[in-house]
Amino acid sequence: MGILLKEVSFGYGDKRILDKVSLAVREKEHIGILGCSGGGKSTLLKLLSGLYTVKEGYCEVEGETKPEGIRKQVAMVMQTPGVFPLSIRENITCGHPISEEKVWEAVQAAQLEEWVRSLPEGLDSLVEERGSNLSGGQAQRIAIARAIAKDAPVVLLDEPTSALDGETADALLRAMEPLTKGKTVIHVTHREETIQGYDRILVLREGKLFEKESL
Amino acid sequence: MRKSLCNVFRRLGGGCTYCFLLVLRCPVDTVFCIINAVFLRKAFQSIEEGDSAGLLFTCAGFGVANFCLFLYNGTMWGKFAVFSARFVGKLKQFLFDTMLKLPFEQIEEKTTGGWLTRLNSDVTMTLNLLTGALNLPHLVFSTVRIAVTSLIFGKISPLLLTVELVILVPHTFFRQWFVVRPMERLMKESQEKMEHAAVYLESTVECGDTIRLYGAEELLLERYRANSLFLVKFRLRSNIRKTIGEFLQLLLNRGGYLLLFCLGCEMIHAGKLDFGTLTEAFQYRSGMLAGTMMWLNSYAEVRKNSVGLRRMEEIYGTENGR
Repeated sequence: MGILLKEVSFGYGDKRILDKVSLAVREKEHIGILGCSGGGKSTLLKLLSGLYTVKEGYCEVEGETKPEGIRKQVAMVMQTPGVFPLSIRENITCGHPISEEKVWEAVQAAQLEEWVRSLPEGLDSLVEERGSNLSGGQAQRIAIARAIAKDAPVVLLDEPTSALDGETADALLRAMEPLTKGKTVIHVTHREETIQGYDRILVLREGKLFEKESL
Repeated sequence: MRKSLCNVFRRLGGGCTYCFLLVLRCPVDTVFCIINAVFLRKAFQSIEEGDSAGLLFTCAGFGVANFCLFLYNGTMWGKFAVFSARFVGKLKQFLFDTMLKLPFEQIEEKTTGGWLTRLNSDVTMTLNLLTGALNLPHLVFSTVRIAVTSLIFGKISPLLLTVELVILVPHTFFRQWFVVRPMERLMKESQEKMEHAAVYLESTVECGDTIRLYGAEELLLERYRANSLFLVKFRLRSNIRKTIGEFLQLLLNRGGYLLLFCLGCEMIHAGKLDFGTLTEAFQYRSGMLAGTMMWLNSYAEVRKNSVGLRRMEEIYGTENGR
């Protein structure tokens, strides 16, 4: 089993965001989750990525139940890409010993190669604070390359194209294909067209998950 | 720096009050030195002449003069403190207002750490420059003190003044070269490193989720450590320079005193001076020396803190610029 959630509830203070959510995802299955803003999609992904601790219910990702263990099994591309004021290489490897070849593979897969090769310092070019010297698409591609380089069995996508224009968003979705190929994927979005062709589509509404067909 | 000072006062006002307070506080150190010198001369002369009434009158006069000076000095520093508190509030508000009115691309040009440094440590540096101890006020006070005490010292004995200057002038240049200039360079570098450290801290907060998910804690911590290590090295280097400065000061003070004392004794033997006048001369020499040291230390601090003033100009623009 890739991911198993059993009656997971979560809230901030008195406000309940997720209410007894259950979900079973097979290995290499691609799941799309639709939901409106503030519906708890990002919270669900934070629980699944081990960033939040499950206090009510049961969560298992690739056999791991503790947040530290879960985080090792998961790569995530978020709505706002977190880029550090370090080099492109360090943004991709995050300080882990990843070979030059693997870094270039990730750069190529994320469709960053042409741009990186055009930079005078290539992979060692510095990213400025908050990625101010990058376009939205470039920053998101760095986040994708980072996720590819991590090579985790589970990939979580939290509306990675929501802040981009249509053309860039389409190109980015193509760039994500190598990241999601052969992996267990959960992609949350409010745009159904971005998750067409997925194995299952679920809807998150008022803190509960439904199969789309059942609505 | 003068232009930067005029610029900040032109924009915030208070320049005239500041100059007025400086002028009012100016004579205190010099008057204190003169009171001491005159007291010692008169006291020793009264002792030599066996005039106990004269000695009593001198001591009473000394007490009253010191008390008045103490009151005056306290009042002046109090006024300075009020001025400082108001000025720093105005300066921060002004910087914040100016920042908000800047074109957005200009705000984006600088890192958050850069802006925070300008709003905090650069403002503190400017405040120190204008009102802090051993800064601009003391630079002015010591200039007056050196001028007046050296004039009186020279009037008492041109020979002793010449000897003192022969020691003091090379010392001043040596100190400038080995202490003041390197300290200034170190200070600028440390401010830049502090900015970088703030950027890493901010990224750690902003990208906390990415850092945890990808295990990048060690990488960012390592960068932050490298910056902190530089700051430690800066403090070490800075302390070494300060120690060199203090050693030179001690050498000048004690060595010069011995030399002048020997010369003074010769002059007393030759009947050119009495003991009271020699003691008075030493008081002026001390005033001159203390004034010089104060001037040098204040000058170093002024140069160091003016970096903050100049960096702030990047926000509100120079006098001729924006």
